[in-house]
Amino acid sequence: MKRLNSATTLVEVLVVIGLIGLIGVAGMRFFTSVNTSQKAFSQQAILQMESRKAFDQIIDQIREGTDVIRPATGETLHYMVFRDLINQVNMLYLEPNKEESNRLKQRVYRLISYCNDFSGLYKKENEKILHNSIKQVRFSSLSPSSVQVNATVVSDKGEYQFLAHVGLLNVGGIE
Amino acid sequence: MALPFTIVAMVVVIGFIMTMSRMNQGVKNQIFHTNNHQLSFLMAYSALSRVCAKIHAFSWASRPFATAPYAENKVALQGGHYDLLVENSKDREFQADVYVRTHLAGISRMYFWRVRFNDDLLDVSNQIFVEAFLNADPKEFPVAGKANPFAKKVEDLLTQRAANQKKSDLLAREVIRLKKPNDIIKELNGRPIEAPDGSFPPTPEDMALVARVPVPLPEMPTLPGSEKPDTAGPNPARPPSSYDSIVGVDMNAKMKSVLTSSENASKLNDEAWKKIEEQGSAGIGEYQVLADKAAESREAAHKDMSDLIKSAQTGIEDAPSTGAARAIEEMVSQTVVAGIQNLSGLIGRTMEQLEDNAGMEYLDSLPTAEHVAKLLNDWEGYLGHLNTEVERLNSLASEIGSFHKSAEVEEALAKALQSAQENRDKMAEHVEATKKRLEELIKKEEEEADQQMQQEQEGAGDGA
Repeated sequence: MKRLNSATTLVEVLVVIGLIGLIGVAGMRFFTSVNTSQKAFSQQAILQMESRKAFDQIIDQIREGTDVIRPATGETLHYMVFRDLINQVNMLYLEPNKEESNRLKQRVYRLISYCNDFSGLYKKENEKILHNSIKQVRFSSLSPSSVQVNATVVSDKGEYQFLAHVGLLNVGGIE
Repeated sequence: MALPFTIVAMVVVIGFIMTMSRMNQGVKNQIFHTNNHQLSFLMAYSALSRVCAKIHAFSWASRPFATAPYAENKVALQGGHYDLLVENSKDREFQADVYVRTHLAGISRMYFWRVRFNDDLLDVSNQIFVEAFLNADPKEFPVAGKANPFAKKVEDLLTQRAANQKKSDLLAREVIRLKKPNDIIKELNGRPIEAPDGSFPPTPEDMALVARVPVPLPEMPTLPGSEKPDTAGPNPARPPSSYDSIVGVDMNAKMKSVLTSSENASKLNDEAWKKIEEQGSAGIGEYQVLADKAAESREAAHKDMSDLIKSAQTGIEDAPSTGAARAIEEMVSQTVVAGIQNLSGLIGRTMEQLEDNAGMEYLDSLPTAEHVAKLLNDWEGYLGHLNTEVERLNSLASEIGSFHKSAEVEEALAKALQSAQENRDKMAEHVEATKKRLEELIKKEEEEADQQMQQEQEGAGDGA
């Protein structure tokens, strides 16, 4: 009787192993699920970062402008025309991107910036591709020195919509 | 048997918690870095706003960078820090160059503003304009007092801007007339925009390329709750210091200081004499403590007035207009005259007290030459102090002599100086009277001594 009390029976060991197995399986499933959602979230964050990086450049470019030519105050357009620090006329506009559209199986556009340097000629170096897969973009002018930019960026990781109110900071000429 | 299982279970749980925590921190860091660009700009804009606020607060003439570039280093803000340098734009009046270099989460950025101050007293809300704003390489952040190639770059850009102005205006006028993006890009000498193919259903963007169509306002989907950061991210923001390190020539503070110190001197002097009135000679100890404090305040008032006049002279030289210079002169002269009035009033009340407590009646009551000699010594000391004090007040008055003053201020100044001079003269009279009284008493005491000696000699002769 004394011997039986001091030892662990086979049934007890099996029960303990079974319980550990159950907890382990449940834990692993939970961990896998969290890991998957974290990955998706992380991918969204990467998309956001990539998109924000591109739009940070756009915002910097607009901020260095002096005044908005198009859209006129109160107007919303798919493109924007403004004057930069040295009074050159710049345009931000969309152009269909066929390769990316076919890859993503939906219509996407390049966002392009072109700057007129008063030379009277087209210069390739004055044209810059700011982003390669834009689904839509809107520029709403709220005053001659501010614009609201709304854009949707598409990638195989998903979509990211961006909204920013940008003030043009070189307003010395406007009093 | 149970112990190894427990240890294994604990290790598994701790490992799980640590992994989850690291994953969450990674996502938080990603979101924080995404905002770095915008946060850096906001930090720099805060620095610019502080500079603009100081220009408004001190006036252009008294701006903190009036005589030398103003620099600040490592100013903590929003979990990062910034360096600031403000200097007058070279060869351009009423313009300043503001350089801000931000450091946030290991990334440095530099922003430049050239601001123009519009000295318009009728439009105080619209005095500062940004002439130029630029994003720049942080390595170009200038060092105060050293050659600044960046300023030259800005000058070149502004020259280019002015040269392009007319052409730009004409082109902008043409562009405003046009409606289709392709027509606009053609006007700008750009490459024609490629037309969309028919692979996908036309979108509003496609339509806008070929015709002017109304553009629908964008619709923003609601952000999923999980994407909203609920913490400040790494390096949580330190609360900003309440200490404002940008200081200019704060004329208001200097004027306030003049009034406070001169009024304190007057008040403490009155309190000192009150002790004598209430307690008589028993209050001498308390009187002395208060009188010493009054003397300290009086010295502080003289120093504050000199500082104020000196600052005003610099401010007047740098004043943007004759009207502004005149306003500074009037403000300063009014304050200095108020200070002189307070100190002159202090002399007047002291004289009244001296006359009440130790005037001519007191002098006549003194029985011996020794007592009078002691009084004469005290009064000569006070007369010496009054001579210095009247001289200092006259000197202050002559320093503001060229400042514009209203008729009332002129009158108040003349009265205050006259009162101080009269009190000084009155004290001189007292000293003379005391000297005379001393001579009389000495003579009387000598006569009495002679008389006594004669009587003693006569007494000795009679005895013999």
